[in-house]
Amino acid sequence: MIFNTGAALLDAIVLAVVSQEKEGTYGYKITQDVRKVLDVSESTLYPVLRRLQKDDCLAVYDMNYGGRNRRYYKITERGAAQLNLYQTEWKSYSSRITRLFEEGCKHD
Amino acid sequence: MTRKEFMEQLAVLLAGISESERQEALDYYNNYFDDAGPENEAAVIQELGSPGKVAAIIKEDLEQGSDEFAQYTERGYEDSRMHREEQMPQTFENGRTGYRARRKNSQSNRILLVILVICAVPILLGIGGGVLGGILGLAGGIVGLVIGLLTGALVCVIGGFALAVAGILKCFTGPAVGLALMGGGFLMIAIGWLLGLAFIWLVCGFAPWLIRKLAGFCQKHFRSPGKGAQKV
Repeated sequence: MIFNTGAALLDAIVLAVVSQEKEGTYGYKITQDVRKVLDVSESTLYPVLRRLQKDDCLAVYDMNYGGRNRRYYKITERGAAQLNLYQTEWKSYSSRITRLFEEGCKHD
Repeated sequence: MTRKEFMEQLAVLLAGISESERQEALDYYNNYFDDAGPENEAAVIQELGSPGKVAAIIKEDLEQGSDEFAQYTERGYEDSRMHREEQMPQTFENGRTGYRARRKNSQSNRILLVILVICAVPILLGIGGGVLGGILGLAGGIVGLVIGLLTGALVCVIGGFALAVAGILKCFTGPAVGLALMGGGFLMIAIGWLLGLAFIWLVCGFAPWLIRKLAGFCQKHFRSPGKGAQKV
């Protein structure tokens, strides 16, 4: 992958992944789902999750799983609104670039 | 490295941050290893990189604080993080996230150090020049002493010999004077001999010892520490 994924885009991707699970999902699964789409290092995602939680975009709850406490992340209302913002912005941004690339190809 | 070693090292490296943050991070990664399963332990460790890298990423994120990053302005949606290049994790592919800001800091530190050295050079030259002058003066003095000793020795021996011979000859005409001259001559030879011995000691004994001491001092302070440490 050639293009850098900035912090904002990464936040958006993580929010999108978490929002797909109505009841919430856990760190390892979130990482695997993100890595299906994007080649990021596994160590990158913890700070993102932590930040989204502190910004009130994700809620956390612990649930007992196999004798240990597994932490689940769930999207909040604010998180859903933020994701909406990101999606609108992304549509505008990506379509502008796509248009530019297509116009560039026409002159070949 | 095993998972246990990885987590132990990570715990140590996170000692500098708040206890609650530290515990949350460790819980997260312990859960991560558990969810991955023991069969994936090695793969996870390889992907995470190293405890150092993980700790650095966590610490750097904590330093950024919890400001409001996103703003909806009249220019449309803006995220101030998009503009703060130096704070955003730049590269994810090869996993060197979070090191850019660090590297820039150490670069500016190095520039400051270079400026400091440039300003200090005139002062250092002045002091160094003085020290060098002192050393050269001392060396010159020693050389003069050595030459003086040699010359004196030769002069005394030759002069004393001449005096002694003159005294012997004089003995035929005036014994008293002749004896006195002979005595003076032998005395001069003896003095010359002593001077000669002193000269030989200085050149063959003292000077090499001094040179060895200086060479040892220079090696200790101006060569690499490895070499210097070998000299006792």
